[in-house]
Amino acid sequence: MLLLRKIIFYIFALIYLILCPLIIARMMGVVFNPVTHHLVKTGLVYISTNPPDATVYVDGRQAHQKTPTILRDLTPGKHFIRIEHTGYNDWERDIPIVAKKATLLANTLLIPENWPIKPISRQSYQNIIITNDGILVGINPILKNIDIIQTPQGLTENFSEGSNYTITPLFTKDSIYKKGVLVRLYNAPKSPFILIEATIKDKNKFLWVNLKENPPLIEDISDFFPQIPSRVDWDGSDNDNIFAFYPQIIYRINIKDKAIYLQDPVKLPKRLTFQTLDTEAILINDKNDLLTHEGQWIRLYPKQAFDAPQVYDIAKAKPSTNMYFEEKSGELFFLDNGTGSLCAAQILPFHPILNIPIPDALRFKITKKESI
Amino acid sequence: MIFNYSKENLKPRQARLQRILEILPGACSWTVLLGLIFLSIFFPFSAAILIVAFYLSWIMRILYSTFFLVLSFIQLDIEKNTDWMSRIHGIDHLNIDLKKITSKKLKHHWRQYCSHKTHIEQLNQLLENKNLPPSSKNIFHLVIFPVIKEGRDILEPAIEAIQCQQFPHEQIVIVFALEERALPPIQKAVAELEKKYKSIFFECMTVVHPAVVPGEARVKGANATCAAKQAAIFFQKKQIPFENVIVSCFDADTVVSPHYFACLTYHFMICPDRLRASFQPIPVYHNNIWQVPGFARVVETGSSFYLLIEATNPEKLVTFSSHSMSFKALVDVNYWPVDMISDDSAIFWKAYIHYDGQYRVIPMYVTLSMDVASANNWWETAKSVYKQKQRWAWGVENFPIVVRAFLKSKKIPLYEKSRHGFKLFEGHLSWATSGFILSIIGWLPVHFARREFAASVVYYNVPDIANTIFSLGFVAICITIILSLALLPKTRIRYRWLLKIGHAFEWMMVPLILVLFSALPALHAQTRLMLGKYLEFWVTDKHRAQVKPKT
Repeated sequence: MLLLRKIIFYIFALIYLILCPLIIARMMGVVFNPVTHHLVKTGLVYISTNPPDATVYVDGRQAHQKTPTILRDLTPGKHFIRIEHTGYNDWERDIPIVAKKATLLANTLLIPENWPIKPISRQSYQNIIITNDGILVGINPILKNIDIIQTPQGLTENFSEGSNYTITPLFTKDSIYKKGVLVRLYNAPKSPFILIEATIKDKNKFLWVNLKENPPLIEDISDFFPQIPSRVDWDGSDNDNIFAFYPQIIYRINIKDKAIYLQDPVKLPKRLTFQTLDTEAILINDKNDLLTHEGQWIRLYPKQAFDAPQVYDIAKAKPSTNMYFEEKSGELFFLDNGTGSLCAAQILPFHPILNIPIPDALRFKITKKESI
Repeated sequence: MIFNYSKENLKPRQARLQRILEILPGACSWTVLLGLIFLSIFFPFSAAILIVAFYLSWIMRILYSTFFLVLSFIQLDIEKNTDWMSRIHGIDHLNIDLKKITSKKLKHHWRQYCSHKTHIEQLNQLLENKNLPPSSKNIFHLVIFPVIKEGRDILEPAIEAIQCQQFPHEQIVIVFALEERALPPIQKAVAELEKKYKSIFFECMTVVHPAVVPGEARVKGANATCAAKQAAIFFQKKQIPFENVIVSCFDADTVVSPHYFACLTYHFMICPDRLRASFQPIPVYHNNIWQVPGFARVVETGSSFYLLIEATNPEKLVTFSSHSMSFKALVDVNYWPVDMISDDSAIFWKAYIHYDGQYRVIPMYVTLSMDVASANNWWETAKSVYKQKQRWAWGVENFPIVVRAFLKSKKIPLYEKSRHGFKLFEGHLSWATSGFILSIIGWLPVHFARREFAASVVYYNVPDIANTIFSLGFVAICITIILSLALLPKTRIRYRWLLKIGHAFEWMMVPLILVLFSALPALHAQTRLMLGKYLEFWVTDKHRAQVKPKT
């Protein structure tokens, strides 16, 4: 046993002494080139796609694994990489490989051959807004034509996968406000409330609507507005206080206490306003792929490395209306340019590969109008 | 060599050296761990290379150990049904027996063939050496049970197991080494057992160890030494030479297999240098195996396997837990250390140094069963297991003393000193570090990767190589699971197969166990030694239902 143990020990020691440098060299990308009989320093490329399970070809040869995958032992220089996925356009690039370095093609967005767009409503809208709880509000000039569009689970559930959604008028047939005409509609980020300024029987009314309630709770707060303000705003995390802006003064209206205060300007909600182009842009994933709304077109700008971004027209949308992208469902909501009806386009697959949610700081929106 | 195997009463220079050597293992372990963390954060390339080299050495070691674990297990299986008593009688009549058995043709199982072949080889070696043993009728066994808080429920099964021995009871002396500070119920239980078994064995006596003895620490070794000294007086009175006595110092929960003393006597007789040898059985922890939480089962089965692997390497084997040795050697080296916790391994080093390296441990492929550390609930059991492992890891206290002795010794060959010194040091270093590196630190370079490292080939290759290595490690785990199931006691319990399947899955906890019940207590022990906060002896909690295992 002792002798056997010694023999086995020396065999294992020898294997270790041979294997260890080989494995470390392999780990550092050094491989033996059977053609030149030299050691070559190689690089690798990491490819993940959105959607996953795409087939990868390197210089015409198919990779063993579907995406996400790592292609190893690539000699320095340019390699032609093609990614194929059924139902999507091929993705092709010349990728430069550097010795001992990894090239990342992470979360590469594959463009569908046909954009799956599904109409959600027959009703035509002038604009849409989204509230904190994922409820879409389809806006029209007559109050009775303002609709609430939602699913039981909220918009994070995928519309295209057959989830039931309901469209209900904000103002019911019995509502005394149903014949009113919309003047302006205010909303605040992360707030389930909207404020409707409307003309009802030649009188200006301000309606404070709580969309969290079912049916929505509508409260007439016109008494707090002796004059028509130039703007109304509030902080989405504090729905008790709204701010009415007049030329010389700002009032804080406490909805709960039914009281009006002269406001200290320091405590005003911080809202960024842009008065730039008639363009709306949304960052849709962590690889800086952009959706833009320019004129009539919603366009996709997939920003891939090593190349100029390509532009894909997705759909014709009603000019000057909002569009909303839902991260979890991967859907874009917009108003169709022709019919004005609400549509959903599947931009990313349901549950797209996003390692982390897009931080608010990265999500930017450039819009002409801050309120409707 | 005359050497004071203790850290006490040293001259200033020796005391300084002792202190430096006490600091060394802990300092090295912390340097390895913190150094790797530092490298992982600031020099991930270097860290990745070191970690992969470590992973590879680890898997080689695991595969190597698994290979010998299997061999050792087969050996255990081979000797399972050996008739040790007939072999003992054969050695008593060596010349006749050798002719008889060499001419004997075996038509039976391969196990018998292997066992028989080994036996013939050992008989030939004994004849060549000409250092023939005393007759088996003149060989006596001294069994010492140190007792402090173990009740009758723990002690009686141990004595009953000795009563069931194939070896004649008239040649067995039982000594209860009872601590004076033991509670009255314990003292009463010991007195009852002494009375009950006095007539069954050659002698059954109780030696009370005083609570306070100058120069002694509150350790098991002091208690056992006190009992052994009284036993020495007893043997002198009976005119039994110490050369004919084999002493076994057992934990109170040790339940030996029925042929343990026959097997021990055989190994004692067949060994030419029997007076300079310890005899190490394979401890298994089956007494209460099904009554403890799963993690404790895995931990202790791991300990048994470690001993099984070590048994294949007698050159480096060190005594552990319950074991036996020549009483003459014990007396020569002035008994167990009375100020050290790790008396089981310390007695080997003490003898090794005393006999200038002419001392060794002989593995015996026979099991003795002990209790898994356990308490009333899951959490208390975890604490108990942790403390027990910390106490085992406290064996590192031997390192400074052994190194001092090696530096002083001129008769022990340099190669032997280096070999033993390195194994002792490396063993404790890897005990305290490998679990952390495998389970936590190995992933840090990837976790702390900065942009430069994250864009390198190494960043993507390290997890891949690690996964391949761990997959190979899984093969070793599977083999370990199979062996652990085969080693389990054949106790009649309900849902035995279900429990066994559950036990197989418990092995999936190994990464966690490696850290919590292996590396952490070892690092804790080394850190305490490094800081001079010496560990006090802590008696392991043991609870057991009345189930008799077959070992």
